Amino acid sequence: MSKQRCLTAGREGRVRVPGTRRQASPALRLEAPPAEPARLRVVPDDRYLDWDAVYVDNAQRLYGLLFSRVGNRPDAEDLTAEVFLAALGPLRLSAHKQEVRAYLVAAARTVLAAHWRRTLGRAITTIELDEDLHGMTDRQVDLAADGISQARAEQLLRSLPERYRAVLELRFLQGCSVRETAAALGVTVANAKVLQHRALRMAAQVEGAAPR
Amino acid sequence: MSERRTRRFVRALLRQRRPPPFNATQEEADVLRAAIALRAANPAASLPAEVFYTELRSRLTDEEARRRAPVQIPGRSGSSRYGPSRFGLTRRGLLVGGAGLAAGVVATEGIDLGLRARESSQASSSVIADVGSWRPVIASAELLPGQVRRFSTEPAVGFLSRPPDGIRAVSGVCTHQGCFLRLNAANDTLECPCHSAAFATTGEVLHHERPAPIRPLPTFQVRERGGQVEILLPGN
Repeated sequence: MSKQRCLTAGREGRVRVPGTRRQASPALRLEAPPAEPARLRVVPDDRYLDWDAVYVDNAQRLYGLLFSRVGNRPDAEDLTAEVFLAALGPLRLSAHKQEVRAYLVAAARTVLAAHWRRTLGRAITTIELDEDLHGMTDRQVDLAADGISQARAEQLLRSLPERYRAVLELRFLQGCSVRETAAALGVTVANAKVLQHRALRMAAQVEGAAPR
Repeated sequence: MSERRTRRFVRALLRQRRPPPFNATQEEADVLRAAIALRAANPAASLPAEVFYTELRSRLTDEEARRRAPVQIPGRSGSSRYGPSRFGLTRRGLLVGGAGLAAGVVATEGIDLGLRARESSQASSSVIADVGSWRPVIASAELLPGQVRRFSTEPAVGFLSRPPDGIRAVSGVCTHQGCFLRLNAANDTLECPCHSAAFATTGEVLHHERPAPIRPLPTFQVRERGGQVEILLPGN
Protein backbone atom coordinates (compact mmCIF):
# COMPACT_ATOMS: atom_id res chain seq x y z
CA MET A 1 0.00 0.00 0.00
CA SER A 2 1.25 3.49 -0.77
CA LYS A 3 2.69 5.45 2.07
CA GLN A 4 0.86 8.68 2.74
CA ARG A 5 2.01 11.51 4.86
CA CYS A 6 -0.97 11.03 7.19
CA LEU A 7 0.89 8.58 9.33
CA THR A 8 3.94 10.81 9.59
CA ALA A 9 1.78 13.65 10.82
CA GLY A 10 1.26 11.65 13.97
CA ARG A 11 -2.42 11.29 13.32
CA GLU A 12 -2.75 8.58 15.87
CA GLY A 13 -0.87 10.66 18.39
CA ARG A 14 2.42 8.96 17.67
CA VAL A 15 5.31 10.39 15.72
CA ARG A 16 6.44 8.11 13.01
CA VAL A 17 9.54 8.49 10.89
CA PRO A 18 9.07 7.08 7.40
CA GLY A 19 11.31 4.19 6.64
CA THR A 20 11.75 2.96 10.18
CA ARG A 21 9.85 0.11 11.64
CA ARG A 22 7.62 0.79 14.58
CA GLN A 23 9.41 0.03 17.81
CA ALA A 24 7.64 -1.09 20.89
CA SER A 25 7.66 1.70 23.44
CA PRO A 26 9.56 1.03 26.66
CA ALA A 27 6.44 0.48 28.67
CA LEU A 28 5.51 -2.40 26.41
CA ARG A 29 8.73 -4.25 26.82
CA LEU A 30 7.77 -6.86 29.33
CA GLU A 31 10.35 -9.13 30.84
CA ALA A 32 10.46 -12.12 28.60
CA PRO A 33 12.60 -15.17 28.02
CA PRO A 34 15.78 -14.55 25.97
CA ALA A 35 15.00 -13.63 22.38
CA GLU A 36 14.87 -16.44 19.92
CA PRO A 37 15.49 -16.31 16.19
CA ALA A 38 12.45 -15.07 14.36
CA ARG A 39 10.92 -18.26 13.08
CA LEU A 40 7.99 -20.39 13.93
CA ARG A 41 8.89 -22.41 16.94
CA VAL A 42 7.26 -25.35 18.54
CA VAL A 43 5.99 -24.39 21.93
CA PRO A 44 8.06 -26.36 24.39
CA ASP A 45 6.23 -28.80 26.53
CA ASP A 46 6.54 -26.96 29.79
CA ARG A 47 4.67 -24.83 32.22
CA TYR A 48 4.48 -21.31 33.50
CA LEU A 49 6.19 -20.61 36.77
CA ASP A 50 3.62 -18.22 38.05
CA TRP A 51 0.72 -16.09 37.05
CA ASP A 52 2.91 -13.19 36.10
CA ALA A 53 4.68 -15.40 33.58
CA VAL A 54 1.33 -16.27 32.03
CA TYR A 55 0.59 -12.60 31.71
CA VAL A 56 3.96 -11.60 30.29
CA ASP A 57 3.80 -14.31 27.69
CA ASN A 58 0.24 -13.74 26.58
CA ALA A 59 -0.87 -10.19 27.26
CA GLN A 60 0.26 -8.72 23.96
CA ARG A 61 -1.07 -11.59 21.92
CA LEU A 62 -4.39 -11.43 23.64
CA TYR A 63 -4.66 -7.70 23.24
CA GLY A 64 -3.82 -7.99 19.57
CA LEU A 65 -6.39 -10.70 19.11
CA LEU A 66 -9.09 -8.66 20.78
CA PHE A 67 -8.17 -5.46 18.97
CA SER A 68 -8.53 -7.22 15.67
CA ARG A 69 -12.07 -8.10 16.70
CA VAL A 70 -13.28 -4.79 18.13
CA GLY A 71 -11.29 -2.29 16.17
CA ASN A 72 -10.75 0.29 18.89
CA ARG A 73 -8.33 0.68 21.75
CA PRO A 74 -10.61 1.33 24.74
CA ASP A 75 -12.69 -1.77 24.11
CA ALA A 76 -9.66 -3.90 23.35
CA GLU A 77 -7.99 -2.80 26.57
CA ASP A 78 -11.10 -3.42 28.65
CA LEU A 79 -11.76 -6.81 27.17
CA THR A 80 -8.14 -7.88 27.58
CA ALA A 81 -8.27 -6.92 31.21
CA GLU A 82 -11.58 -8.72 31.60
CA VAL A 83 -10.16 -11.92 30.18
CA PHE A 84 -7.18 -11.95 32.47
CA LEU A 85 -9.19 -11.01 35.53
CA ALA A 86 -11.70 -13.75 34.80
CA ALA A 87 -9.00 -16.29 34.07
CA LEU A 88 -7.13 -15.61 37.29
CA GLY A 89 -9.41 -17.65 39.50
CA PRO A 90 -9.88 -20.99 37.77
CA LEU A 91 -6.44 -21.18 36.22
CA ARG A 92 -4.16 -23.95 37.34
CA LEU A 93 -0.50 -23.21 36.77
CA SER A 94 0.52 -26.84 36.59
CA ALA A 95 -1.14 -27.05 33.18
CA HIS A 96 0.89 -27.00 29.99
CA LYS A 97 1.47 -23.72 28.27
CA GLN A 98 -0.70 -24.76 25.36
CA GLU A 99 -3.53 -25.54 27.71
CA VAL A 100 -3.18 -22.19 29.37
CA ARG A 101 -3.20 -20.42 26.04
CA ALA A 102 -6.17 -22.42 24.83
CA TYR A 103 -7.95 -21.48 27.99
CA LEU A 104 -7.18 -17.80 27.51
CA VAL A 105 -8.46 -17.93 23.95
CA ALA A 106 -11.62 -19.67 25.11
CA ALA A 107 -12.10 -17.02 27.76
CA ALA A 108 -11.51 -14.28 25.19
CA ARG A 109 -14.10 -15.87 22.96
CA THR A 110 -16.67 -15.70 25.73
CA VAL A 111 -15.74 -12.19 26.78
CA LEU A 112 -16.00 -10.98 23.21
CA ALA A 113 -19.39 -12.60 22.69
CA ALA A 114 -20.70 -11.02 25.87
CA HIS A 115 -19.35 -7.67 24.78
CA TRP A 116 -21.27 -7.75 21.51
CA ARG A 117 -24.40 -8.95 23.22
CA ARG A 118 -24.18 -6.06 25.63
CA THR A 119 -23.40 -3.36 23.11
CA LEU A 120 -24.88 -4.18 19.72
CA GLY A 121 -27.15 -7.10 20.43
CA ARG A 122 -25.49 -9.34 17.89
CA ALA A 123 -22.12 -10.90 17.26
CA ILE A 124 -20.26 -8.58 14.94
CA THR A 125 -17.03 -10.53 15.13
CA THR A 126 -16.11 -13.79 16.79
CA ILE A 127 -13.08 -15.75 17.82
CA GLU A 128 -13.13 -19.15 16.24
CA LEU A 129 -12.54 -22.28 18.23
CA ASP A 130 -9.30 -23.08 16.48
CA GLU A 131 -7.93 -19.59 16.87
CA ASP A 132 -4.42 -20.11 17.94
CA LEU A 133 -2.17 -17.90 19.97
CA HIS A 134 0.94 -19.95 20.23
CA GLY A 135 1.35 -20.25 16.49
CA MET A 136 2.44 -16.65 16.32
CA THR A 137 6.12 -15.93 16.14
CA ASP A 138 7.81 -13.50 18.47
CA ARG A 139 8.14 -10.99 15.70
CA GLN A 140 4.43 -10.99 15.21
CA VAL A 141 3.95 -10.08 18.81
CA ASP A 142 6.16 -7.05 18.33
CA LEU A 143 4.36 -5.93 15.24
CA ALA A 144 1.29 -3.94 15.99
CA ALA A 145 -0.95 -5.69 13.52
CA ASP A 146 -0.75 -9.35 12.67
CA GLY A 147 -0.33 -10.56 9.13
CA ILE A 148 -3.77 -12.06 9.01
CA SER A 149 -5.51 -8.74 9.56
CA GLN A 150 -3.44 -7.04 6.93
CA ALA A 151 -4.02 -9.75 4.37
CA ARG A 152 -7.71 -9.63 5.02
CA ALA A 153 -7.88 -5.87 4.67
CA GLU A 154 -5.95 -6.00 1.42
CA GLN A 155 -8.29 -8.60 0.09
CA LEU A 156 -11.28 -6.45 0.99
CA LEU A 157 -9.83 -3.41 -0.66
CA ARG A 158 -8.70 -5.17 -3.79
CA SER A 159 -12.26 -5.97 -4.69
CA LEU A 160 -13.40 -2.35 -4.62
CA PRO A 161 -13.47 0.28 -7.35
CA GLU A 162 -10.55 2.67 -7.31
CA ARG A 163 -12.08 5.61 -5.48
CA TYR A 164 -13.72 3.48 -2.84
CA ARG A 165 -10.50 1.65 -2.25
CA ALA A 166 -8.60 4.92 -1.97
CA VAL A 167 -10.91 6.52 0.55
CA LEU A 168 -10.90 3.47 2.80
CA GLU A 169 -7.18 3.08 2.60
CA LEU A 170 -6.63 6.71 3.49
CA ARG A 171 -9.13 6.78 6.32
CA PHE A 172 -8.65 3.38 7.89
CA LEU A 173 -5.19 2.23 7.07
CA GLN A 174 -3.37 5.49 6.80
CA GLY A 175 -5.21 7.27 9.57
CA CYS A 176 -5.93 10.40 7.57
CA SER A 177 -8.54 12.87 8.67
CA VAL A 178 -11.59 13.52 6.52
CA ARG A 179 -10.07 16.80 5.49
CA GLU A 180 -6.81 15.23 4.41
CA THR A 181 -8.66 12.48 2.62
CA ALA A 182 -10.83 14.95 0.76
CA ALA A 183 -7.76 16.89 -0.28
CA ALA A 184 -5.98 13.78 -1.47
CA LEU A 185 -8.97 12.73 -3.53
CA GLY A 186 -9.78 16.19 -4.80
CA VAL A 187 -13.29 16.29 -3.39
CA THR A 188 -15.13 18.25 -0.72
CA VAL A 189 -15.20 17.08 2.86
CA ALA A 190 -18.89 16.27 2.54
CA ASN A 191 -18.20 14.19 -0.55
CA ALA A 192 -15.42 12.39 1.19
CA LYS A 193 -17.77 11.38 3.99
CA VAL A 194 -20.32 10.06 1.54
CA LEU A 195 -17.62 8.24 -0.38
CA GLN A 196 -16.35 6.64 2.78
CA HIS A 197 -19.74 5.42 3.79
CA ARG A 198 -20.57 4.02 0.37
CA ALA A 199 -17.20 2.36 0.18
CA LEU A 200 -17.77 0.72 3.52
CA ARG A 201 -21.16 -0.54 2.47
CA MET A 202 -19.69 -2.10 -0.62
CA ALA A 203 -16.88 -3.61 1.39
CA ALA A 204 -19.54 -4.97 3.72
CA GLN A 205 -21.14 -6.84 0.85
CA VAL A 206 -17.83 -8.33 -0.09
CA GLU A 207 -17.13 -9.20 3.50
CA GLY A 208 -20.65 -10.37 4.08
CA ALA A 209 -20.41 -14.12 3.90
CA ALA A 210 -17.61 -14.72 6.34
CA PRO A 211 -17.97 -13.06 9.74
CA ARG A 212 -14.78 -13.12 11.71
CA MET B 1 -30.29 0.54 7.73
CA SER B 2 -29.64 3.63 9.74
CA GLU B 3 -26.70 5.46 8.27
CA ARG B 4 -26.44 7.68 11.27
CA ARG B 5 -25.75 4.90 13.72
CA THR B 6 -23.14 3.15 11.66
CA ARG B 7 -21.47 6.43 10.82
CA ARG B 8 -21.28 7.29 14.46
CA PHE B 9 -19.81 3.91 15.24
CA VAL B 10 -17.23 4.18 12.47
CA ARG B 11 -16.33 7.70 13.49
CA ALA B 12 -15.65 6.45 17.01
CA LEU B 13 -13.50 3.63 15.67
CA LEU B 14 -11.40 6.02 13.66
CA ARG B 15 -10.91 8.25 16.67
CA GLN B 16 -9.99 5.38 18.98
CA ARG B 17 -13.04 6.07 21.08
CA ARG B 18 -15.35 3.51 22.50
CA PRO B 19 -18.16 3.15 19.93
CA PRO B 20 -21.66 3.86 21.24
CA PRO B 21 -23.94 0.84 21.67
CA PHE B 22 -27.15 0.32 19.71
CA ASN B 23 -29.26 -2.56 18.45
CA ALA B 24 -27.67 -3.40 15.16
CA THR B 25 -29.42 -4.97 12.20
CA GLN B 26 -27.72 -7.61 10.11
CA GLU B 27 -26.92 -5.05 7.44
CA GLU B 28 -25.42 -2.66 9.93
CA ALA B 29 -23.44 -5.49 11.47
CA ASP B 30 -21.88 -6.25 8.09
CA VAL B 31 -20.75 -2.67 7.68
CA LEU B 32 -19.29 -2.57 11.14
CA ARG B 33 -17.50 -5.84 10.59
CA ALA B 34 -15.89 -4.44 7.46
CA ALA B 35 -14.87 -1.30 9.32
CA ILE B 36 -13.31 -3.32 12.11
CA ALA B 37 -11.49 -5.55 9.64
CA LEU B 38 -9.96 -2.49 8.01
CA ARG B 39 -9.11 -0.91 11.29
CA ALA B 40 -7.43 -4.04 12.50
CA ALA B 41 -4.89 -3.74 9.72
CA ASN B 42 -3.60 -0.35 10.79
CA PRO B 43 -0.37 -0.83 12.73
CA ALA B 44 -0.39 2.58 14.38
CA ALA B 45 -3.96 2.26 15.55
CA SER B 46 -3.77 -1.05 17.26
CA LEU B 47 -1.22 -0.47 19.99
CA PRO B 48 -2.69 0.15 23.40
CA ALA B 49 -1.97 3.13 25.60
CA GLU B 50 1.55 2.90 26.92
CA VAL B 51 0.66 2.26 30.50
CA PHE B 52 -1.93 -0.34 29.70
CA TYR B 53 0.25 -3.42 30.04
CA THR B 54 2.01 -2.27 33.16
CA GLU B 55 -1.16 -1.12 34.88
CA LEU B 56 -2.96 -4.33 34.12
CA ARG B 57 0.02 -6.33 35.24
CA SER B 58 0.09 -4.67 38.66
CA ARG B 59 -3.64 -4.97 38.98
CA LEU B 60 -3.40 -8.68 38.35
CA THR B 61 -0.57 -9.02 40.81
CA ASP B 62 -2.72 -7.31 43.42
CA GLU B 63 -5.64 -9.56 42.58
CA GLU B 64 -3.56 -12.64 42.98
CA ALA B 65 -2.19 -11.44 46.29
CA ARG B 66 -5.72 -10.84 47.49
CA ARG B 67 -6.81 -14.27 46.53
CA ARG B 68 -3.99 -15.80 48.47
CA ALA B 69 -4.21 -13.56 51.49
CA PRO B 70 -6.79 -14.02 54.21
CA VAL B 71 -9.57 -11.47 54.47
CA GLN B 72 -9.75 -7.80 55.38
CA ILE B 73 -7.60 -6.12 52.80
CA PRO B 74 -7.93 -2.36 52.43
CA GLY B 75 -9.54 -1.83 49.06
CA ARG B 76 -7.73 0.02 46.36
CA SER B 77 -9.08 3.47 45.77
CA GLY B 78 -10.46 2.83 42.30
CA SER B 79 -7.96 5.08 40.62
CA SER B 80 -7.30 2.55 37.92
CA ARG B 81 -9.41 3.06 34.88
CA TYR B 82 -10.03 -0.67 34.97
CA GLY B 83 -12.05 0.10 38.03
CA PRO B 84 -14.43 -2.24 39.72
CA SER B 85 -17.64 -1.29 38.01
CA ARG B 86 -16.44 -2.11 34.54
CA PHE B 87 -15.88 -5.75 35.31
CA GLY B 88 -18.43 -6.23 38.03
CA LEU B 89 -15.71 -6.83 40.58
CA THR B 90 -16.92 -4.74 43.44
CA ARG B 91 -14.74 -4.13 46.42
CA ARG B 92 -17.18 -6.14 48.47
CA GLY B 93 -16.73 -8.95 46.01
CA LEU B 94 -12.97 -8.82 46.31
CA LEU B 95 -13.01 -8.86 50.09
CA VAL B 96 -15.42 -11.73 50.14
CA GLY B 97 -13.41 -13.58 47.55
CA GLY B 98 -10.48 -13.34 49.88
CA ALA B 99 -12.56 -14.75 52.68
CA GLY B 100 -13.60 -17.70 50.60
CA LEU B 101 -10.17 -18.94 49.68
CA ALA B 102 -7.74 -18.15 52.40
CA ALA B 103 -4.06 -18.79 52.83
CA GLY B 104 -3.14 -22.43 52.86
CA VAL B 105 -6.28 -23.55 51.12
CA VAL B 106 -5.73 -25.63 48.03
CA ALA B 107 -8.77 -25.80 45.84
CA THR B 108 -8.67 -28.89 43.70
CA GLU B 109 -9.95 -27.23 40.57
CA GLY B 110 -8.53 -27.58 37.12
CA ILE B 111 -8.67 -25.36 34.09
CA ASP B 112 -12.17 -24.82 32.96
CA LEU B 113 -12.03 -25.56 29.26
CA GLY B 114 -15.77 -25.96 29.61
CA LEU B 115 -15.94 -22.38 28.43
CA ARG B 116 -15.95 -23.77 24.96
CA ALA B 117 -18.28 -26.61 25.53
CA ARG B 118 -21.93 -26.93 26.25
CA GLU B 119 -23.04 -26.12 29.76
CA SER B 120 -22.57 -29.50 31.27
CA SER B 121 -22.72 -29.94 34.99
CA GLN B 122 -19.34 -30.04 36.60
CA ALA B 123 -18.29 -32.07 39.55
CA SER B 124 -18.17 -30.04 42.70
CA SER B 125 -14.72 -29.49 44.08
CA SER B 126 -13.38 -29.70 47.58
CA VAL B 127 -11.60 -27.05 49.51
CA ILE B 128 -8.82 -28.87 51.29
CA ALA B 129 -6.61 -27.01 53.69
CA ASP B 130 -3.12 -28.36 53.46
CA VAL B 131 -2.31 -26.97 56.85
CA GLY B 132 -5.47 -26.78 58.87
CA SER B 133 -7.36 -27.41 62.00
CA TRP B 134 -10.88 -28.44 62.81
CA ARG B 135 -12.97 -25.54 64.05
CA PRO B 136 -16.35 -25.81 65.64
CA VAL B 137 -18.89 -23.65 63.87
CA ILE B 138 -22.22 -24.65 65.30
CA ALA B 139 -23.70 -27.01 67.84
CA SER B 140 -24.90 -30.28 66.33
CA ALA B 141 -28.25 -29.81 67.94
CA GLU B 142 -28.74 -26.60 66.03
CA LEU B 143 -28.48 -28.26 62.68
CA LEU B 144 -31.55 -30.40 62.21
CA PRO B 145 -32.24 -32.58 59.20
CA GLY B 146 -33.76 -30.49 56.45
CA GLN B 147 -32.32 -27.29 57.85
CA VAL B 148 -29.74 -25.10 56.24
CA ARG B 149 -27.64 -22.95 58.50
CA ARG B 150 -25.15 -20.33 57.59
CA PHE B 151 -21.81 -20.24 59.33
CA SER B 152 -19.25 -17.52 59.36
CA THR B 153 -15.79 -17.92 60.76
CA GLU B 154 -12.40 -16.55 59.97
CA PRO B 155 -11.68 -17.03 57.09
CA ALA B 156 -14.55 -18.97 55.66
CA VAL B 157 -18.27 -18.52 55.31
CA GLY B 158 -20.69 -21.11 54.09
CA PHE B 159 -23.81 -23.13 54.58
CA LEU B 160 -24.35 -26.32 56.54
CA SER B 161 -27.01 -28.86 55.84
CA ARG B 162 -27.84 -32.32 57.04
CA PRO B 163 -29.18 -34.52 54.24
CA PRO B 164 -29.79 -38.21 54.87
CA ASP B 165 -26.30 -39.21 53.78
CA GLY B 166 -24.45 -36.96 56.18
CA ILE B 167 -23.50 -33.42 57.02
CA ARG B 168 -22.50 -31.14 54.23
CA ALA B 169 -20.74 -27.77 54.20
CA VAL B 170 -20.54 -25.65 51.10
CA SER B 171 -18.86 -22.35 50.49
CA GLY B 172 -21.08 -19.32 50.81
CA VAL B 173 -19.19 -17.32 48.25
CA CYS B 174 -20.55 -17.09 44.73
CA THR B 175 -18.17 -18.69 42.27
CA HIS B 176 -18.88 -15.99 39.76
CA GLN B 177 -17.51 -12.84 41.31
CA GLY B 178 -17.26 -13.58 44.98
CA CYS B 179 -20.38 -12.03 46.46
CA PHE B 180 -21.85 -13.53 49.62
CA LEU B 181 -24.73 -15.88 48.93
CA ARG B 182 -28.05 -15.60 50.68
CA LEU B 183 -30.15 -18.50 51.78
CA ASN B 184 -33.57 -18.73 50.25
CA ALA B 185 -35.10 -21.04 52.82
CA ALA B 186 -38.38 -21.42 51.00
CA ASN B 187 -36.73 -22.87 47.90
CA ASP B 188 -33.79 -24.44 49.68
CA THR B 189 -31.40 -22.55 47.45
CA LEU B 190 -28.46 -20.23 47.86
CA GLU B 191 -28.86 -17.06 45.89
CA CYS B 192 -26.41 -14.45 44.75
CA PRO B 193 -27.62 -10.86 44.97
CA CYS B 194 -25.08 -9.65 42.44
CA HIS B 195 -25.96 -11.42 39.21
CA SER B 196 -28.84 -13.70 40.11
CA ALA B 197 -26.91 -16.92 40.29
CA ALA B 198 -28.51 -19.66 42.34
CA PHE B 199 -27.03 -22.83 43.82
CA ALA B 200 -28.41 -25.87 45.53
CA THR B 201 -27.22 -26.61 49.04
CA THR B 202 -25.14 -29.33 47.45
CA GLY B 203 -23.20 -26.61 45.67
CA GLU B 204 -24.64 -27.48 42.29
CA VAL B 205 -25.34 -24.55 40.00
CA LEU B 206 -29.06 -24.16 39.48
CA HIS B 207 -29.22 -20.92 37.63
CA HIS B 208 -26.96 -18.26 36.28
CA GLU B 209 -27.09 -15.57 33.63
CA ARG B 210 -23.49 -15.50 32.58
CA PRO B 211 -22.29 -16.33 29.10
CA ALA B 212 -19.95 -18.97 30.46
CA PRO B 213 -20.82 -21.68 32.96
CA ILE B 214 -19.95 -20.85 36.54
CA ARG B 215 -18.49 -23.41 38.84
CA PRO B 216 -20.37 -25.26 41.53
CA LEU B 217 -19.67 -24.21 45.09
CA PRO B 218 -16.68 -25.87 46.67
CA THR B 219 -17.35 -28.03 49.69
CA PHE B 220 -15.54 -28.04 52.99
CA GLN B 221 -14.46 -31.05 54.98
CA VAL B 222 -16.90 -31.34 57.85
CA ARG B 223 -17.36 -33.62 60.82
CA GLU B 224 -19.11 -33.80 64.16
CA ARG B 225 -17.25 -34.05 67.42
CA GLY B 226 -18.39 -33.60 70.96
CA GLY B 227 -21.75 -32.16 70.03
CA GLN B 228 -20.23 -29.65 67.67
CA VAL B 229 -20.14 -29.45 63.91
CA GLU B 230 -16.57 -28.81 62.89
CA ILE B 231 -15.04 -27.64 59.66
CA LEU B 232 -11.49 -28.13 58.51
CA LEU B 233 -10.07 -24.68 57.96
CA PRO B 234 -6.60 -23.38 57.28
CA GLY B 235 -4.45 -22.19 60.11
CA ASN B 236 -3.84 -23.48 63.59
